[in-house]
Amino acid sequence: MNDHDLNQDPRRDPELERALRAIGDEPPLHEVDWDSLRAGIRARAELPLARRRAAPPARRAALWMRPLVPAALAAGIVLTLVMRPGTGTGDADEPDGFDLIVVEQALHADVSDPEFRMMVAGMDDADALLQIAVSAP
Amino acid sequence: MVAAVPALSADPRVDAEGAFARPAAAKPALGPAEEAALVERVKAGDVAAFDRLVGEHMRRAFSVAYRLLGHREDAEDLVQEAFIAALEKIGTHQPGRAFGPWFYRILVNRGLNARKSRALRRTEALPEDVRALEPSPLRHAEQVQLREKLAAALADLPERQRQAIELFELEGFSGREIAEILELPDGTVRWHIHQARKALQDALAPFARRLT
Repeated sequence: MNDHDLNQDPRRDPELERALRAIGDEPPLHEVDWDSLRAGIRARAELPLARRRAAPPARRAALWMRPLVPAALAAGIVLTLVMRPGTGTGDADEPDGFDLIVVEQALHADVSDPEFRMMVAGMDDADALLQIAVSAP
Repeated sequence: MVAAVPALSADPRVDAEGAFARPAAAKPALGPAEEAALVERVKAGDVAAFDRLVGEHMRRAFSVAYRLLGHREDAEDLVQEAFIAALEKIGTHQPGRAFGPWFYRILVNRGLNARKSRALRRTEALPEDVRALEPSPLRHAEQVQLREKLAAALADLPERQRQAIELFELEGFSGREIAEILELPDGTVRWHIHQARKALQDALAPFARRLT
C-alpha cells in the first residue's frame, strides 16, 4: 500500500507502535479504580438523566413540531397579506380554507400583488378581481 | 513502514515474542445498531443505557485523556467531565452517526482546553525501571539514546500530527474516526499521519537495522 495515498488509511505499523509505547508514558490503566470512576460518572449523571425523563412530552412535541414551523410561517405570511383590517373571521367574503400547496406556489410565482391575492384566496371571478383592484393600495 | 529498530525488549512490558503488551483499552464491543439504540434510550433518560455506554468507552476514554494530560487523576476527571458533557449535549447527537468519534471529539476538545489552562507540558522522561534492565552497558546506552531521540521527535511534532499519530497507532482509531474527533478532513488526517511517521522515521534512522 502506498503510504502517501490520502484516500485510504495507511497500514498499521507494529514496529512504530512498539517504539512509541516503549518511550514511557503509557496510560496506567491498571492504576485506575474503574468501579469508582464509573460510580462517580453515574452519580453526576443522575440529575441530567432525571431531567430528560421528566420532560419527554414537551421534548416529543418540540421534535414533531419542528417541520411545521416553515409551513406555519408561510401560512402566516399569506394570512397577513389577504386579511384586511376590520374583517372578522366570520365574514362571508373571506376565503375559506387555505391550500398550503397553493400558498407555496403563490409565494414563488411571478405574479402581481392582486394576482397573488387571488391565487391564495381561491377567488377567480370578475367580482373578486374587481374587489381586489379596488382595495389594492 | 518504520525500519526495525534495536529491540527494546529489556522492558518488562514487552512479552516473550517482543510485542509490547497492549493496554486493555480495546475498541468497544458494541455494534453500531446496538450503540445507536442505547443513545436513543439515553436521550429518553435511561440510566442503564447511559451506564452501558460509559462502560463501553471508559477505558479508551481514559487512555486518550491520559495521553493529552499526562496525569492519572487529571485524566480521570477529564473522562468524567466528558461523559457528563456528552450527556448534556446528547440531544444534538444525530441519529445514525457513530457515538464514539462524537464523544471523543468532546473529550479531546475539553482535554486541550484543560491542558492550555493548566499549562501542562508533556513529560518525556524515560521510566527508571527500564534503565535498570539492560543486557549490556553498550546495548543499554543504545536503547536509552533511541528512546530519548524518539521521545524528542514525538514532542517536536506539531500538535495535530502528534494527536493523529497517537490516536492512529496507539489507540487504534481509523482515519475517518480521527477526522471526526479532530474536526479535520479525512485526507488532512492521513497527511498528518504520514508526516508524523516521516519525522519519527528520520529520528530513528541512525539506529535502524533493516530486516533482512
